Amino acid sequence: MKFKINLKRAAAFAAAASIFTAVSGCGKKANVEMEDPNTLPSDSYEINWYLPGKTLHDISTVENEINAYLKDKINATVKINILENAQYKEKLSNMIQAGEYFDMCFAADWMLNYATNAENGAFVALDDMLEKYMPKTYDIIDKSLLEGARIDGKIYGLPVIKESSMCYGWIYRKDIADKYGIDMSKVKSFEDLEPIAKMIKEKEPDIKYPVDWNGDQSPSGSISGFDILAANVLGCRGGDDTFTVVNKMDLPETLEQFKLGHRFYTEGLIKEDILTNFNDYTQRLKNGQAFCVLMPLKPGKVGELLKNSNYEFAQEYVQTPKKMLNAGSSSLNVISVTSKNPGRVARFMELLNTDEYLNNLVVYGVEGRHYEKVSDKVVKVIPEGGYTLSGSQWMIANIYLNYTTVEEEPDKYEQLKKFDEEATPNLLNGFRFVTQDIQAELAACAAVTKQYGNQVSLGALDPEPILETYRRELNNAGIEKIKIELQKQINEFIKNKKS
Amino acid sequence: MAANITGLTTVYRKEKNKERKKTGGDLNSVRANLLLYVMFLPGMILTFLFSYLPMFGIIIAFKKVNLRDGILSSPWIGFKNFEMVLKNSNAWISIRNTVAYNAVFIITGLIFSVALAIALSILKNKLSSKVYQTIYIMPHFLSMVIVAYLVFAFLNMESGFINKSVLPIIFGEGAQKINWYAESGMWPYILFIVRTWKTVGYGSIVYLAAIAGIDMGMYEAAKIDGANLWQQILNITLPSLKTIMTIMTIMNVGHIFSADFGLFYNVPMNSGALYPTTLVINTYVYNVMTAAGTASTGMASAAAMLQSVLGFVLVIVTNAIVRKVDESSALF
Repeated sequence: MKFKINLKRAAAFAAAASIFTAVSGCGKKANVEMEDPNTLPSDSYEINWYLPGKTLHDISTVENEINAYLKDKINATVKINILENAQYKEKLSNMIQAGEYFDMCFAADWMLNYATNAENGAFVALDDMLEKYMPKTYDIIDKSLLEGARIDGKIYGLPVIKESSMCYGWIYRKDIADKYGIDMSKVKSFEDLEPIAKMIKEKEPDIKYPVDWNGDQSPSGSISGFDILAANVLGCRGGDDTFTVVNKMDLPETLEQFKLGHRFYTEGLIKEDILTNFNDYTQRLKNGQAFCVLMPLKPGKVGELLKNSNYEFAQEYVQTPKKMLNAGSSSLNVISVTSKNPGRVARFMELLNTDEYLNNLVVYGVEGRHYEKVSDKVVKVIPEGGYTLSGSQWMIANIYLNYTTVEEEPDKYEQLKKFDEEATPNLLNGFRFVTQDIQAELAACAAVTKQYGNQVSLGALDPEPILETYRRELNNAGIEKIKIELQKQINEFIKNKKS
Repeated sequence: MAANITGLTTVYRKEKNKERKKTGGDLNSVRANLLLYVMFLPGMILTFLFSYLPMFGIIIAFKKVNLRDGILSSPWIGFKNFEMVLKNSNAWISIRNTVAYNAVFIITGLIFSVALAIALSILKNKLSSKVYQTIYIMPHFLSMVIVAYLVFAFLNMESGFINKSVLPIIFGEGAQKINWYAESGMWPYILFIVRTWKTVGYGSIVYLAAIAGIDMGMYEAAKIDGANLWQQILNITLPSLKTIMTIMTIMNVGHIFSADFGLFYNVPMNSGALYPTTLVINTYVYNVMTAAGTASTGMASAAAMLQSVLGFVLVIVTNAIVRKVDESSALF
């Protein structure tokens, strides 16, 4: 008994000790010496790179190949660490807060709190490094993407070069839709979907739960058209050009959406353990266990997402494409302040964004082992190869260098560019909520949402009583103060923009 | 009654003191007990490294930490972090839960562990005694993550054993399924069962060892005087275990504000709907810390510090009470 307690304490204190020593240490860290970008360094450096995704069995082969390739270019080796989504979020947050060493990782507004962590100095500012270490990337990257990554006047991450618009819509089983003559382009809401889902549940015994979602894909999520700007609940109603900030949880329509979600649950259209298990919708689609899922779409999304399935899928937009708010920070790679050689990491990023061979090596693996070439730019992934990041290329670098797979349309990239051109502009683009004075309230609200958010949005529980508590707790945590601050900053932003 | 262990140590201490006076000076005693000091050293170093050194981290609770400046140069903000913690109703829920669960665990853990130890010690068949002991201790070696999925296999909605097999047997086909991960009222019992199953065997080891040290002659004498098994337990075994039971309890009371993170985080799958009955200080701190990145580090530290201070006060108080009641049983 005594021994056990000591061990546990020891572990806890070891963690605390590392936090203390590491973070206090990095406070007075001398500037890392910056290497000359034009020479081949004599010392080899290992770049530790973290990405969210599915576990891959054969990373080492790809790493060896990458390392061999990089040896004569920048003399670096790469260690790719892939963690499952939920684990990634927690582990990387902990590493950042503990000031633990790593070189490079994926971050975004919706993953790892890019803005907050950047403000708090977790990432290296790239402004001076862009032209020095990444001149070619700097040349080709859309400058509005870079602006989207700007926090407090500085750019703390390199946005992935990709489309900057988004549009929610259905990904669904085409074979089933054809069988019953369902025209998904006419399905514009979850209300429209309800009778179809019921019919499929009845007639298709294999599809026990026709719909699947997580909080953002449920009726109260992005399809509601509400633009979330801060604290997971504050934002503007879609199409509101006065930009009045409201708390989404205060809106009457939100409760209706929650109720609709709960109805789906009670009718058995959503799986029963959705509350504890809400991130396997892709797998369920692939296995043929679900009929349709609402997702952020773009041209070619379905081919990217659902490879190697025995079923046929299609996609259909529900909304019209719209520019993402600050697209640059929706997907970027950052360099950690704990990196011992940010210059080398930046040079690696430059290669990733400009070197077609390296880019595809990272995404598809080794030719013959992980994929086969069908034609010059089209590949077929070998499912049992044990390595593919295709489907995740939007987390890596310049997607326009990527080969397409046989499942995808070969003109995917032209379609993407067109998709971007057609998208309606986002009037708040460039707006960035400065949170220095209200961080305590934001943290408190985030903790509240962590507790109640999924309870109301996933549909498993009767939303009404929970929503009441949720709103009360948000108020206790200081949501009003954040709201006032947000409105103030938005007003200022609009005024400056007009003048 | 029997010469109990603490009695022995008191006698030993007195002897030691006499000896010290005779040999004169602490230096000589250090030299004489050099080997003992060397044995004591690793433990002291570890305690210093892992328990004293990290205490400087307490300053995080009074700061608005940002990584650019590091902990030492981050701005001081006084008690603001504590204010935020205490404003959140979950902080109180977690403190209440922690203390209540641990109080129950301390009492029941003591009863079950001692009972199990006595039962195992009575078993005369060596083989069956070993088999039972192994069966009881085994769960201790399972990681809480695995335990969590064992529990999940029982409780989940779609294919859980209880929802799929047990309820239909009891209530017939078409029985209403229970969404266990949303029913906070059930979890005190579930957690109690899991925790007892996992720890009772391991907790009984220390008592088994103490029982093995009891002089068999006493039992033989009692038997000759006509004492039955129950009377032997009541009058020989339990009194002999009194000191060790007190020590173990004081130590556990010292930890009453720190809950088993694995049990309370993994087993309920950190389901928000269960927080009213499953949130304890440790999981609360963790949730706050991971909710909003670096912004919440200070809040998490403040909550953790509150926990340590309360725990510390409690150990002192408990020990003082114990000393009043029975001085030889006190820890210090």
